[in-house]
Amino acid sequence: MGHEHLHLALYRGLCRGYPRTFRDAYGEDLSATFALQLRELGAARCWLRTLRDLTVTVPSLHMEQRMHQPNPTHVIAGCLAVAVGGTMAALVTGTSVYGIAFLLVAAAALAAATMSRRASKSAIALARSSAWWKFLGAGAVSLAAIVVLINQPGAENQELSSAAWSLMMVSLLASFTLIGAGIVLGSARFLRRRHG
Amino acid sequence: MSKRVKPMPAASLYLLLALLGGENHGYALMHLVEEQSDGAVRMGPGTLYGTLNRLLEGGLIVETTGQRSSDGAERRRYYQLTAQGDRVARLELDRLRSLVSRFDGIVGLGGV
Repeated sequence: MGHEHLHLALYRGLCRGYPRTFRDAYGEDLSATFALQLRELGAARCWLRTLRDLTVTVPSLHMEQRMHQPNPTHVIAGCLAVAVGGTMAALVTGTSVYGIAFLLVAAAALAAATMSRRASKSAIALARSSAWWKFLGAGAVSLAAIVVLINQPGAENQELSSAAWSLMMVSLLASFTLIGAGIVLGSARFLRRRHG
Repeated sequence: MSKRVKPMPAASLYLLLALLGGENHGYALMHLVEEQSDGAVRMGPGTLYGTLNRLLEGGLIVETTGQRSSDGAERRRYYQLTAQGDRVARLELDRLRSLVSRFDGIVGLGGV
């Protein structure tokens, strides 16, 4: 089949979305199976099946791995990110009650962080991560997209349906959470550098 | 009181049942599953190896020594049922049989 190597290269690239341990164990088998399917089904049917497969298995294998090896630092960092993001969203939208709730989540996450010995150990690994700017960037881009959408000409006169309003609030919270994650990871990295 | 058996996900169940016929490699298993389910369960590579990995971790199957494929071109991993896997596959078959016989009775009485 023509361009088989291109199809394979693209599939291998998409397989990078799988967790590393799964990729290391089954990477060659995945590619070999894809190549056989490509020859058997043809490009269109093979890709249709493969894309459906990737859409389901990539997130589920990540989720599975997280559940098998729960990392308290990641859980705590996630809580902190939600707390920071939520507080920022509450401040921007002027809903102080939610702001207090998010601050309570932040306090609980910090308390858990100081109590968990395992967490403090793996926090060092997290603080080494240079991914903070990716979260910050993704959050900023997402927030900018929402702001652009809200400020479309004529948008101020439109009444939002409750579904659209909920979607906007969830997107807003997700954007602030990403920014929060960037701030948490960036602060951890800064503190680690400062205190060795 | 009999122990309740939790139904397995379709992909795991069909892979276990396919392995009742003896050891086999991933791609052949994928075909067998599609055949045995009359095309209802069509797995992609991720589902196939994700499920095989889960069954391996659960101790239901083991990987046997890699063998050369018939054309001798590549080494393939073969899988076979463990004693526990064989037991689980047969338990699942029993569960399905009892389900079918229960509903056969109802259908026979004109209830469905």
